[in-house]
Amino acid sequence: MMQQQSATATGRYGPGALDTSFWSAAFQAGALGYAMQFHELHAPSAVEAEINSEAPPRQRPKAAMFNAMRSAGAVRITNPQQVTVNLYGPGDRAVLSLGRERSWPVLINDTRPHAYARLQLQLDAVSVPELLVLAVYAGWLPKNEALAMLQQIAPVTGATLMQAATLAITEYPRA
Amino acid sequence: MGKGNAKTKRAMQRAPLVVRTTANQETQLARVRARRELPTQQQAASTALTAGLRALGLEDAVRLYQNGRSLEEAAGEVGLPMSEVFEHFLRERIPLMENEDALNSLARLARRYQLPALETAVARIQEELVARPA
Repeated sequence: MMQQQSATATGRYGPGALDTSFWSAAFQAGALGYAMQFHELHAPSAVEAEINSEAPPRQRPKAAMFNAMRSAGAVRITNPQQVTVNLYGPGDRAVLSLGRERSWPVLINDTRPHAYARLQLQLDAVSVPELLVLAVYAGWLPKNEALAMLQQIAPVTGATLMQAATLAITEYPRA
Repeated sequence: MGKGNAKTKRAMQRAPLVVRTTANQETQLARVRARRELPTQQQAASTALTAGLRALGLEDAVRLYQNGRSLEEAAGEVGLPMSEVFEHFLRERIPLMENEDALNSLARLARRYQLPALETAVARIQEELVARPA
């Protein structure tokens, strides 16, 4: 079981395709460390461009973190060979295509592409509320802290994902 | 100024101050006190009214949502912030449409990440929601 594994290992569940919505929300919630412990993060160039939306040399805090992680090798740029999904924005399309091509889980916080990944492409999709649930049940993150982190991303996250995560965290037996 | 006058003055300085009020003054005082308390009572009544209206608004929002409006539309129609309506759904454990789908996603992740406690928790929540459908 995961609880018995070392808490310092990173990317223990292999690669994951990273979307802009996930990076932004995870940064806002302070949950990026948990994402990196679960997966090696692979972002297509379209996502990198979306995160770095300001004209250089300006970098928003979330972009500065992304660029630092990229330089350190903790985030890699990986593009799909072909963009096979024609829905949503350029970043979503690239991430969904990458996940489909390599059978990787997609890390995505927008409700519709998240549902599309699961229901149409049959991929595992992880949103930030779900990441927080996983971190709680892995024994890494205290329940109350997770609920507070969840509140941080309420304005940018779908209500159904938020409610399911809140119920699951509340259900966790320990504090 | 005469001697007697000075005596009276000294006596007055020593004597304790006693305010005598007539029955009429008592009535006036009671009126003043009542006027002072009135805003507090009005405030309490107004707070209770606001809370009551808010509770009715939240109930209406739930009904609207269950009749097909989105959470945002329902909140807009009852004139409450969406965050408050959402909080109400959470507090009262009122299931959102598509919640089943979000819970299925969590169950799938529980299996992928080998978290049996999460799988059990999700199953428990799903049972509870089936028992209390939207």
